[in-house]
Amino acid sequence: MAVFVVPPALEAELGQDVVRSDAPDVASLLAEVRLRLSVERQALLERGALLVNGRSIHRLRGLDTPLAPEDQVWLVFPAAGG
Amino acid sequence: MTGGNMGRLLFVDLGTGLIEERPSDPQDVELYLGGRGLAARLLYDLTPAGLDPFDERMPLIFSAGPLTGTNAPQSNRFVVTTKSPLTGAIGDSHCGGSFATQLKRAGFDAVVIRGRSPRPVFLEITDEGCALRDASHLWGQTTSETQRALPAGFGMAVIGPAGENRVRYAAIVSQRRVAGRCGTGAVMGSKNLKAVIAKGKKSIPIADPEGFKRLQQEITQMLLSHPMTGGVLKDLGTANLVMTTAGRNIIPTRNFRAGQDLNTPRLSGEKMRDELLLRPDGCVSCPIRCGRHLKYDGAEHKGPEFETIGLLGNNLGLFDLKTVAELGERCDDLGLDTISCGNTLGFAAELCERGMADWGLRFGDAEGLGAAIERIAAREGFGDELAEGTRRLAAKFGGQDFAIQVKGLELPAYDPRGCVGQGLEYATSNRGGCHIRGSTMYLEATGPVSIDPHSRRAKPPLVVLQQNTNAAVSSLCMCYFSAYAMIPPAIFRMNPNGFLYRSLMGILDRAGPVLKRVVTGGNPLQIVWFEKFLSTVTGKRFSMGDLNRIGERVFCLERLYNLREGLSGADDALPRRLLQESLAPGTGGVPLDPMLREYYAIRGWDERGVPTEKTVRRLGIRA
Repeated sequence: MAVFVVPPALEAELGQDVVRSDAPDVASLLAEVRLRLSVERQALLERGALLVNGRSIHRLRGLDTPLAPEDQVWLVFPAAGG
Repeated sequence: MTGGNMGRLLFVDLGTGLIEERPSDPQDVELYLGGRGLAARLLYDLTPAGLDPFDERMPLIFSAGPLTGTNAPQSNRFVVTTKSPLTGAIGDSHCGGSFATQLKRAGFDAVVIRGRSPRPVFLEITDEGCALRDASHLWGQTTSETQRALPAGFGMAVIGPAGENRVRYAAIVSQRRVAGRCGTGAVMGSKNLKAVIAKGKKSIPIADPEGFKRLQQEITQMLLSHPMTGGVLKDLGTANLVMTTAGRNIIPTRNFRAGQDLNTPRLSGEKMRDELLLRPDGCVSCPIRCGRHLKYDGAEHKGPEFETIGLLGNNLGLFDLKTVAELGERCDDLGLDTISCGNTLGFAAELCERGMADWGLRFGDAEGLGAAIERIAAREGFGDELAEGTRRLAAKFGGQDFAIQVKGLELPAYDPRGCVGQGLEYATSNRGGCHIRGSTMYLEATGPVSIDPHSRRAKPPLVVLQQNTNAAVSSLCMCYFSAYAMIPPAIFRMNPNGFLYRSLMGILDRAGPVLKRVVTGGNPLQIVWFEKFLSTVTGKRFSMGDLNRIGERVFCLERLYNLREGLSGADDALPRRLLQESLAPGTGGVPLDPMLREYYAIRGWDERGVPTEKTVRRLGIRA
């Protein structure tokens, strides 16, 4: 099963810090997650970069990027510091 | 006197007790500004080649910049420069707090300290006089104890037991801020100098006070309204990076054997804010306030910075924020660099795991790792070995391939296999494995734009541009964090998974030739606030191109210093683990060699990494 690592901003609504899923691709996984979120929180899914095993989906096959067991999907936001 | 500068340097000989003021060289100020640049010039000129960092003749230089004390946002930093006992290369370490402002108000742009005192002393600098005072009663004290015992109302720079014991990555602490890198605290300890304190009331000359005031208000507002400097950094501190670096698979994990752990989110900035934050904290004149004050278990604590979380937490398999905060605070109190310390502990734990050492260190063992920190600072037992840093440890016990350092300086918390331009930046950094010499990872992996982080395309000119800009900004002694606001807010509003964003990134991926033109050509415009502030303060017009040329000059001078001290192009390297081991399917190591060749060519260095005579002449460097 692929793992969606839940960003802290979504943890309260999802009630867990990881979502395990048999979704075949990123789009299906997102659809599963979206169903469990309020409209307000759903918007966050559009604002963060989706990464599969550290790689942006826009450098893979976008939302059609297939997911294999053990793949990790993260949703991250611009960050900086040092 | 040039606006912004006090025009005076303080020279102190701890051996003879002689303290004298000298005028600064106006030409050096024009060529190198102050801070990092001016100190590099002084270090080069004041030391014979090959001088040991612990030789009593080795200078320890505290320098401020032309904007320091003016109240320009994020300008109140100081730089400590010497030859690093950890790397043998130029070592400079940067710090916020109030010390820099007080040094300028006392009337000095820099303090050059040489010699070795026969007994522990501290140096007191004021606008009414300077003196060496007995510090015997402070020797052995932690940095917080020392600061509490010193006279109130001064800006302070102090060492702890680690500096006294010459731990090669000992830090200098100022209030709750730390000049952590390169072991400058060990050189201070070798001089029997426990602290430097400064206080003054002089005003800093500003050529165009009205223009400066308008710019100050405008830029402060801009920083406060920008989504990064006024949003993310303010809200979450530097720990905002935890989730993003983990998602990008680049946060050090078990001595850089992985790029994240499913427990990593437990260390996030959001967790720190929601569960532990008491209030944010910041340096003088900084509107961002990225520091954190935590409260838990009935007491106040300093919140760990991202690097501390990365190296002392995630890298060591420690996923409890309070534990990491306490280890970080203990390092600060003992006067240890949390990056080098955490990295060294990770390396030592892997040595133990592989049976190459028997110190009993284990990933995830908070108690054992905490006890090791105490031993390092005291140089007690195996702590004496670990106090030497990863490169020397590897030379003695093996494991060079997974000693994660460059030029002897331990890498911070961005694994370059997921941001290969950052790998080139690490390899070519004059002070060794440092992330803040250009912060290329911001434009590859962590920020709102992402120039293909796994591709070498466009990276050499990007790294040169970033390094030159950073050298100039740190010669101004401005905080590099403000540079994160250079990316327009509109970019932050784009959907990073959408067509428009993908198209923009495609263009940036191919921006190498344009970036190369930017680096090698001049830019007569004033575009961002760094050159505008410098112009209003000094009364001389600086363009963005002028500032980048100054940065290039500083970077090249540092390179010349390193070459003089015996370093070479062979030191522009990464450990084998980062070159050859993959972190995830479809990715590889850092393609360093081809990037390095292009990088040298852009800089006007030969194939061995030596600046050509033409380049040195073009930059007006007196070598």
